[in-house]
Amino acid sequence: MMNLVMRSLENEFRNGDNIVTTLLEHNSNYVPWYALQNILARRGIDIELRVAGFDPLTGELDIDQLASMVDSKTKLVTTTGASNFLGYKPDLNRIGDIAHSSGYQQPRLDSFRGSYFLVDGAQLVPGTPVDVQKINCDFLAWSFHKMGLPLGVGGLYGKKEVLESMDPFLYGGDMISDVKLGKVEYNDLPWKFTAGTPNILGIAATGRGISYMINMGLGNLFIKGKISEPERIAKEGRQLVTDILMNTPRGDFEITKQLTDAENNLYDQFEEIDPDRLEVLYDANERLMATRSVVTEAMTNIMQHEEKLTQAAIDSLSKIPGVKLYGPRNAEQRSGLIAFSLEGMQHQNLAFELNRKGIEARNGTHCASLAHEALELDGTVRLSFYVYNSMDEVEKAVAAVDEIAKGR
Amino acid sequence: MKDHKEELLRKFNQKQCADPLDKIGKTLVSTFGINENKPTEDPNMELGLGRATNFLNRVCDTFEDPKHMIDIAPYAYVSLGTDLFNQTMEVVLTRAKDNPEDQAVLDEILSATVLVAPELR
Repeated sequence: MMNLVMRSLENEFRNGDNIVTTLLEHNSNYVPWYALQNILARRGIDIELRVAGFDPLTGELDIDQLASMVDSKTKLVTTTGASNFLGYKPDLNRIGDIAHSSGYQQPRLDSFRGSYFLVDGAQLVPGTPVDVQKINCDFLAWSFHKMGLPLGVGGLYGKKEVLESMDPFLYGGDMISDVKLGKVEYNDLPWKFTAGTPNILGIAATGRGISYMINMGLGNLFIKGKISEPERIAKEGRQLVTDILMNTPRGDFEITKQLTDAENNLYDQFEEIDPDRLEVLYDANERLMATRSVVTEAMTNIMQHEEKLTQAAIDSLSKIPGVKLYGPRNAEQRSGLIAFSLEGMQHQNLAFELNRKGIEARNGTHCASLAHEALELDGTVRLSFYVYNSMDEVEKAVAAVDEIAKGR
Repeated sequence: MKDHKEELLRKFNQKQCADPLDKIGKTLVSTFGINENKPTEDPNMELGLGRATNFLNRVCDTFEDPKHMIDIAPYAYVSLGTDLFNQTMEVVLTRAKDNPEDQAVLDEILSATVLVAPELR
């Protein structure tokens, strides 16, 4: 998705422009801009890539340094929404304000003030209720595989007027509205950016997976035979409503989901329990608001679950002699992962032993090469927690680290 | 002190092997040197050198361009453990010999195996 933005913007850059990013980035939000700098240099256009640092103790982005790097030549400010190594979540509103007050004039968009603000949400979106209007970002990119969903499917939000002003990044079928010899008209949004054959299977599976995850976040899932009949109808009814909302989210679309006989029967039963919840489905605007509400509620629950697990892990791991944690100690400031090292042991040995004990741990630089380089680390071990993990599993993971530390 | 990376580079000096080894040769030796029965002990670098040499002999003989296989090896070895890594490598090497046209994507078998839940691998 970063490449999509980079490719679509590459012809807009002017000599002397700059891009401001950070040392917290995953390589996928540094390498495209590094590459763009080289691509443009070959065309005789010199742009600068400015990289803001972070506090080595807390992992917090040095926003003052970032602000000092942004000026009237800054076309783009881009930052991670949550570091996939330090976990740290920068203050996106503040960074957005800095970007938008840079004084840069976008060459194709007179009405736009300041630098574009692109957020890499790969680590943020899976565990946070993200509202692009509140953040006021111009782009938000994320990957669904970080949500336990299929590989190769990603999302990109862009402000409509910004996307309209940008070049397509791929050319071909679907992205055109009319083709004549010597004259091609590009299609409206979003089709302008949908050239080529879509990953239909991956997208369909992702859609189903999102519904499942939102239902999980709302507490609508249950084990058959373990709950009473009215509770089953209530939970299944809420699943059905969530499924309809997730599949017809936009106000200008009518409900497209065809109910099966079994679903119709459930629908009737659920209507007696919760008529208000079904009422919202008939009005396009209410449906849109209800979709927003269930997604926010589910993602807030998921975030709080992650925070609870992460805080417990931080508190316990930090008591183990020799363990060094990276990033903020307050789980509310970070996403649901913890990178750490154990004194006197190489990261690959620690990860090998954790994996052997049944604790899935990743080691290395986690594609956060710049931050590891800044901290002079050749690698760390990372534990990640998500909606499907339990406190019991966190305790087992911490106990495994403790056992390894004691046996050194 | 013996420089294990330099030793690997002397043995595997063709460009396709030397380039990745220059970057991760030391990591490859220290990772393959992990004692699978006591992984928390310091890696046995001589053991690691021997295993790395064996691994490189096989992938450099089989693959036209073994770069991606070498790059992925330390990560896959740590995640899968010695036995499963070796089993997966047998599958990869057999496929690479029987279907040379598939070689460019076979490193993905290691990544994909890591992604599968341990009990299903």
